[in-house]
Amino acid sequence: MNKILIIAQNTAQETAAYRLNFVLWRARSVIRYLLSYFLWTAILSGVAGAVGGYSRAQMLTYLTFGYIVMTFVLATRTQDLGGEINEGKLSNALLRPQSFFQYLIGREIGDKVVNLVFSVAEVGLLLFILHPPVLFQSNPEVLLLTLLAVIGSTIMYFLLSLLMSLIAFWTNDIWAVRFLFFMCLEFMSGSLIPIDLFPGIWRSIVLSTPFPYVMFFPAKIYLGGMSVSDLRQGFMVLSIWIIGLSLLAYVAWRRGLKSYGADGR
Amino acid sequence: MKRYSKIWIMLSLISLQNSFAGRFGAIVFVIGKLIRFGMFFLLLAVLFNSTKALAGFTREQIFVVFLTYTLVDSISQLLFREVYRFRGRVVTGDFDLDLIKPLNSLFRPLLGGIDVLDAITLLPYLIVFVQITRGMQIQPLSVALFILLLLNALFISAGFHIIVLSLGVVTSEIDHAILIYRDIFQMGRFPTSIYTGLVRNVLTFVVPLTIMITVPAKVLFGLYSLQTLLAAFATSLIFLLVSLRLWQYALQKYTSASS
Repeated sequence: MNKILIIAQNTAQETAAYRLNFVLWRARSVIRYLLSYFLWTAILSGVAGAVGGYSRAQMLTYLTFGYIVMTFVLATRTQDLGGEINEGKLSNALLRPQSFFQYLIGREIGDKVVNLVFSVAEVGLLLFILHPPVLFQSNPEVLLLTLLAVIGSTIMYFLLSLLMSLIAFWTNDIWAVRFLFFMCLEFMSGSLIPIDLFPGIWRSIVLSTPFPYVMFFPAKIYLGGMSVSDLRQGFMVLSIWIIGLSLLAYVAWRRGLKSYGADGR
Repeated sequence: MKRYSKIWIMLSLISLQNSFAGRFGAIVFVIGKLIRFGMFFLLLAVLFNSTKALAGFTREQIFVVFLTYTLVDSISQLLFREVYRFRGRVVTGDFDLDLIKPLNSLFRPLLGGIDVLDAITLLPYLIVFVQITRGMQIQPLSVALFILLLLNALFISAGFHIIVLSLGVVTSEIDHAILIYRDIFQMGRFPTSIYTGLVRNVLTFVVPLTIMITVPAKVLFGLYSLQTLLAAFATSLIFLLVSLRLWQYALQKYTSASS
């Protein structure tokens, strides 16, 4: 455990070494939040009452809380692994007297903590400047379910991102799949429009993919009022993805290591 | 001019070969771009289930704003793709090789060959654009002004890319500068009138998305004034002059550190 914490600390320090890059990365996230915020402010100002069951306060709470969740879930260092495999740098990590996954988890924790701290500070600043009518959830059951959904999403995204990097064992075109993934994530995570506003068939399709669990599902739970059957179905789909991706990642790692030639070393 | 055209075509052919060296990546890239384009239309359709107008724009008008954004964005990426690779050339010192050539120092970093993959996606965008605007009653003068304003937007975009290149020379640490520009630019997918306060001022005066996207689209609806048009052309001129000045300043600071 101590080793993981030291790795997490080193990762956080690494981020501090490239401060300007990190600040600009955070600025990019804020810009994306502002796009959704102003879009929905404009829509809701032209409509009397709620849109698709979302009042102004609920929608802005959904976007604001979703922003923090998405920042936390998407903060990962697993995307570096693809390049490390392609350049043969993975050998360094494999030679260390420590489990490779322990090393990966340490890096994840470091990266997530730094991003979480910054996103909370950014949201505080945005709330101060924009004064959106944000709702604070106080129901302990809802908060617990939200926490469970965030943990589930984090594990699922870690496995997904890991798998996208493990492709590097077989090809150099590692950016292509990740590019396609982020194209889909932009629209299917719910960061622009909550998924329950999608028409019936589209909603069902999107909810069976991993994308809405990165933001929509935890943010929707946080708002409260989600039916038991929707909650059960959401957690079930999330669990299936976690189990399926774990098996896939395990197989890909085992087979990948066998074909790894440390090219570039 | 003829010599530059010849070199530009040559660089574009090399870029074409590079793009298709990794065929899988190239295909996924094109598919990804088309998926994003299609999904955005789906999102707009979903949005307009909830509202009849957005900041005073009808559904068709919002489609035209989005398509104008897509055209400016795609053509900019198609022309200025080399900017994305420039930092590497500064860090490794390869930029020296551009400087010693009997060419304008900005030519290779800014226009070092078109991005063929963006050229491929441009065709479907144009087809959809023609299909959607066909149903609207647009005057020939509006079409001519729209094309002029589109060119004007590309000049502003060139100015931004030159500023990013200058930043790359002065502070080689900037990885995200071009991506920040692109993220801000994405705010132009909707009319800038949906934004308020500081953000609206930034989008009008700092990154003039209003002039680059909203004004050309409004021209197609017949909504324009002589003052707006003059302001649009003056802005692009100022942007280009300032960016060229910055480039000259950056070149003086270039130390050729890694070569």
